[in-house]
Amino acid sequence: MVEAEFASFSDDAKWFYENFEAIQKKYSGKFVAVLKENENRLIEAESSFEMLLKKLKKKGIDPAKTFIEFVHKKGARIILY
Amino acid sequence: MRIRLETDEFLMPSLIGTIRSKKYHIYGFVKFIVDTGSNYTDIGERDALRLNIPFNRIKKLEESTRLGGTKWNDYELKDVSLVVKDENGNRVELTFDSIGVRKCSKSKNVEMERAMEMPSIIGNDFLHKNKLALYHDPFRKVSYLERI
Repeated sequence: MVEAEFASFSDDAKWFYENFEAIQKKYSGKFVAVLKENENRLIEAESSFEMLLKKLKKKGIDPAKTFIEFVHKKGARIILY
Repeated sequence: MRIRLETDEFLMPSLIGTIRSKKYHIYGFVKFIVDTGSNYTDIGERDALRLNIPFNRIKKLEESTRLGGTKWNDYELKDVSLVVKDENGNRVELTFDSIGVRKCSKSKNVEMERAMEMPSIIGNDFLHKNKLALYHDPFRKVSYLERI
């Protein structure tokens, strides 16, 4: 079960990056969670991270095992320091 | 031994692993950006909330970090491990003396939301302790950590 959950999280991350352009067009500036339903991936999105967490918990989804990312706007420049 | 990394939307190398602490009942998956410009490894606030890390039970450090133009309060999480898979699918447990946990020092909603955008980071301290070298080719999108 644990192995499967980790593999699923890793696959969701990979899928997110492979499909980033399409995701960015639709969800720019939002926090998104990648979910699965009948082998299909779908996105839950909110402008606020706290709202997204509440939404997931309400659906009985464990955020600790769910791939969640912020979708930066196109052209965003990221310097971590 | 090699650990394959993902290349994110900004072509940064990222490591996905399982964070676990029996003491604090923490168990979940985290994506870290491997940032050799950082001397410090920490869990960002977004991931801290996802993992339900109990800020009230862990030590708050006196020093603060500057990252992404924001000032952060730093906390210290001990008794924690990071488990990853190597390129052959074998389980590898990597160690920390402790790992930082970042919390925004601002109280305005806009600043707090901006803080949630920042990722968790693997820094040089972690690479040094675990004897890991980073190979990163953003053009071919091939990145991995290799044990020296």
